[in-house]
Amino acid sequence: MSFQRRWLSMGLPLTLLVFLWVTMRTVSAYSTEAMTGFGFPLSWYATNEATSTAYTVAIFPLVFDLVVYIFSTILLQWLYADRLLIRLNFSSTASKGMSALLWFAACLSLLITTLILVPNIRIELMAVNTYFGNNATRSCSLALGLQPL
Amino acid sequence: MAVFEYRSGGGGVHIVAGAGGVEMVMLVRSQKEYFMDFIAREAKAQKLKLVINGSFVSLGKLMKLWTYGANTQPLDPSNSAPIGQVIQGGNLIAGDSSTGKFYMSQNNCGAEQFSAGLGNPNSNACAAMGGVAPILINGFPYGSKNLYKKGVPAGAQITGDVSKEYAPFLVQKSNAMFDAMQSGGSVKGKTAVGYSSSKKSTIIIVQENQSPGLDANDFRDVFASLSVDNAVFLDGSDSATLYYDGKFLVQPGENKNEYLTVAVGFR
Repeated sequence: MSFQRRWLSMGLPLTLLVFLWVTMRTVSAYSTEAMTGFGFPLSWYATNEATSTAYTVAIFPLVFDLVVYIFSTILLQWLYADRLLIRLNFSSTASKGMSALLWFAACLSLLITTLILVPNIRIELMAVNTYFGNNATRSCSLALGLQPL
Repeated sequence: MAVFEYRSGGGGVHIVAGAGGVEMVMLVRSQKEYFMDFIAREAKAQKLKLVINGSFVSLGKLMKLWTYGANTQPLDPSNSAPIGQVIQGGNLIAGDSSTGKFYMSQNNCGAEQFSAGLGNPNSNACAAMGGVAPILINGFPYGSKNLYKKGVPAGAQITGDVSKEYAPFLVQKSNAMFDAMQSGGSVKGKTAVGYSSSKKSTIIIVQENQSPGLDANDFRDVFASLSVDNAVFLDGSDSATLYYDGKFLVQPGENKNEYLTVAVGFR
């Protein structure tokens, strides 16, 4: 299987899964106020403080993060996965089965995330929040789980 | 007995002023019923002239998926958690601590005096709710940014904490929740309560969601023009609800009607 075909059958759904399940939590805070944004390397969504159960999603960080995840997995595939798959010597049926499973998991995750984010969504272009300026403290940590967290 | 007066604020904005011993009553839904049914029922039972939506709530991921998906029935109130403490008759009846947010409180039942401030409300209050956003606190205005008098030294913080050297120049304090309200512009639903200690008047302003109206700054200016010294925003957008004199003048969104739990009544 060519690099491109392997990327489409496994790399892309894997990228989506990692993007939707593994991210960074960034807490921006002043002494009495705080905001938690999610996304790596940029926060692309945060809960909206103006209404219950609403989210703010920023387009540029969302696209940027997605591009970073895509390039990272392409790089990883190029460096390791190709060799690993050759070593594991998957049969054609096993490869197809694994690809189908990955695509199913990725599409289901994407559907759930979209359905949770979309009601009461506010779209921003450049950042989820510009309120917390340079004088805010920021702490980052790994966040695991289906987005939105 | 309290007297209430209604007037339209233009567009989807409704303004109600109450005076003469207004009493605030916190209401928490405890059974599976639509938020509007709950409000109508409680208004009758407790002889409330006016009821509005109250605290912000959080909803689990699966519950949100369910309620915004196939579900059309009211959610069990245990699925939706109020943000900030809800106090009625000196008892914590719902919610939890939210120290970084603001509260609105009527400390003595029947004595028409409301206070607001940062942190949790007084646990002995007659009626109070935490977790809300400031508009005016003890006469001091809030906004998206810190504003200063002329002559402020260079380097004053635009948002957030203000250093001691700049504090004497501060004329408006920034707040993240206020900023979020302002970012929604003038068409997003808003619910706000204010109290004027000089006029002994309680002012409630509710703007219908997705209708022409006021932005957060305009709300603040309206309250200030009515000599209000303490005012806060409650849950906004399609949570905005106003029941007045036996009728719903502003209805919550279909899904919010299924899971909102806290309302504020006045009589």
